[in-house]
Amino acid sequence: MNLQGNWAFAKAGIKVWSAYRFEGIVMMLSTPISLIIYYFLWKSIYAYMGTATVGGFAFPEMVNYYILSMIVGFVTWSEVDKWMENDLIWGRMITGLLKPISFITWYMSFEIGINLMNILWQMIPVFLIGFVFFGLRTTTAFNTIAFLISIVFAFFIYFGMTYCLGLTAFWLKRIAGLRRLRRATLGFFSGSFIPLTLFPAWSQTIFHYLPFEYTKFVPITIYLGTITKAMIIKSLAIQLLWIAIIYFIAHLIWKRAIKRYASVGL
Amino acid sequence: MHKEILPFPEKTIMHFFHTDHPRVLNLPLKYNIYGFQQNLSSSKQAHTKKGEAMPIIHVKDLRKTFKVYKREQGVLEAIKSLFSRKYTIKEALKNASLDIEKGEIVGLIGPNGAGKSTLVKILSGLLWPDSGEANIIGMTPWENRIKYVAHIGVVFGQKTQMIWDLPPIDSFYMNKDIYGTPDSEFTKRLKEMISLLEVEEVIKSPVRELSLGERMRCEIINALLHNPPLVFLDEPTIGLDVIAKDKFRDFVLKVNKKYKTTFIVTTHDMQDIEKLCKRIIIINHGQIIYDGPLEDIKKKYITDKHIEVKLSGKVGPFKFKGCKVLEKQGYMLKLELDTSKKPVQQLINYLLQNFDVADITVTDPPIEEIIKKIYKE
Repeated sequence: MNLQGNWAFAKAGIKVWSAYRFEGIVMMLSTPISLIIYYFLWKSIYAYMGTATVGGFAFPEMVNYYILSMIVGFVTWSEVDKWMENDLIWGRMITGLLKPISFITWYMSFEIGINLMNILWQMIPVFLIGFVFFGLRTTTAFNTIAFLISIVFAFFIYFGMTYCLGLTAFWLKRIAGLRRLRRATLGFFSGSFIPLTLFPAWSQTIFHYLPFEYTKFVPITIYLGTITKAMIIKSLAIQLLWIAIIYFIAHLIWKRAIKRYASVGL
Repeated sequence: MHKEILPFPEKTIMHFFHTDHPRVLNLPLKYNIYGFQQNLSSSKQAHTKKGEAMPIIHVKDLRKTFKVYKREQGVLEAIKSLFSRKYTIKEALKNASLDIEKGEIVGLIGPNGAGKSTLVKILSGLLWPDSGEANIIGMTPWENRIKYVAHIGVVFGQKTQMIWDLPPIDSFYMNKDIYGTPDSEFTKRLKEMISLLEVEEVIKSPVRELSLGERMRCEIINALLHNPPLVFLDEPTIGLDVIAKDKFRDFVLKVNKKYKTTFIVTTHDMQDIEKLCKRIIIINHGQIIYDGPLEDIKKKYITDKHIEVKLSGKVGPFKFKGCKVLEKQGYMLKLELDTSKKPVQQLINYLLQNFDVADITVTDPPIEEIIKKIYKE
């Protein structure tokens, strides 16, 4: 692998992020706002329900959950399917194809560059805001390290799935509808919108066999320490397994897609 | 090598493969950007010892078909097309074969939709052909894409390969890292190219803010900084003004001379061809219909000259053997002369003697005319 080349493209991602610094500032300011909205939303839900816990979460835990959900989201965020769709429609895909770099790492490096900026300018501020204003608690060294590893794995799972969807643009050209479906599916089944423990038990069992919860819910539970050490190790192993499966599928689709690549936008 | 023009395309192709042994480069090429040029030069020496030139491109029987969807205009037809679509198979390339030597500048011409771009895209590793074989700098482009593209440069006049939101200089440095160009070589080449193309001021503004001419000049720098031995230029001068075109052509010639870079240029601009190429390949309906020296084709096919005469007085009766009047309008006369019947000088003399001439322009007929002529044969 051409690491120097990959890093060069990650740097390009960083520069593109910086080129739109106003956008960056707005995003940085908007995150605490959505945190406040979730805070009051759940506060009223707890008041309405009149119970101490909802889905096994006490109110402070629930706030912790949403802060962590945001933090994980900054690392895993990927819109590679959008880049791919646009590049294909506007005939810009040749730029990547003409570089001595594999197609997937071309996009992945760029996305990593952007996410590094997200971590610096959004994730770290949210961490700090969480600690100071919203009672985000710390966790053991083991859980912290496992959490950091699992969010990196989560990025690769999230990116891999999004990339597979992006590849379908080789056949379908426009995939805006599918992308919307992808965002909704990932948001819902990964536990971004509501914690997965609020779902019925049978559906939770199904979730264990799908990759979605490993992009968000699992890393959060690792941080919160609601699962045992053995379970944490097992979760990390399952994440690795999903990475292997998803990238194998991506490779198979890619092999067909490149032969398919024809007069698209030429 | 191309002593005569043979009227039939089959013969032209056969003429090319007069040697029976396939001239395939069996370079022990490993993916090593630094080592590549050493490999190339050592194998070149080996070839010169044998006294045989080395083809940098060897391509045989390339075929490519596309499915093209068709529908009538109108909303109703658009809705119908949601349920059933008609498509036709378009043969973009039929048995294209060619050999190109190192250091050549070859013009690839043909009308719109003739298959030029398809050929360039296959040769640059972007498209998979349906069948056919290729050996370009020791590789099959579409099968070894990642390794292969490290050794070529490509400029598409219609689109940018630099990062849209960033200044060209950032794209240059990104390429430096991607291709692993050594610092000293990179800085030297960058400096040289910037001064040749006069883009000192331009390279620090975002690509999206550059004019077309500025962008194209940066585009070629971007494609050449890693010193590729083979460069494809697909309509590189499209939309450029005369001065920008001139700069661009001079630059290509200089690079070709200095680094022995092989260029393949597709264009609709006859000036590009005349300034740059000694050899041209004409392609139409997916077939190579001519491959040989530009001079030959000019002698044989450009027998016509277009002459535009502006007069100080009204146009009177005009008669000259071998000369056709294309247009007659007030003070202006457009003529077409068959130079195989009468030389241009005679016509000009005739005009000067018999008319009150204010201005005369003599031009070659446009490239499409020549292709039409060749294709008719």
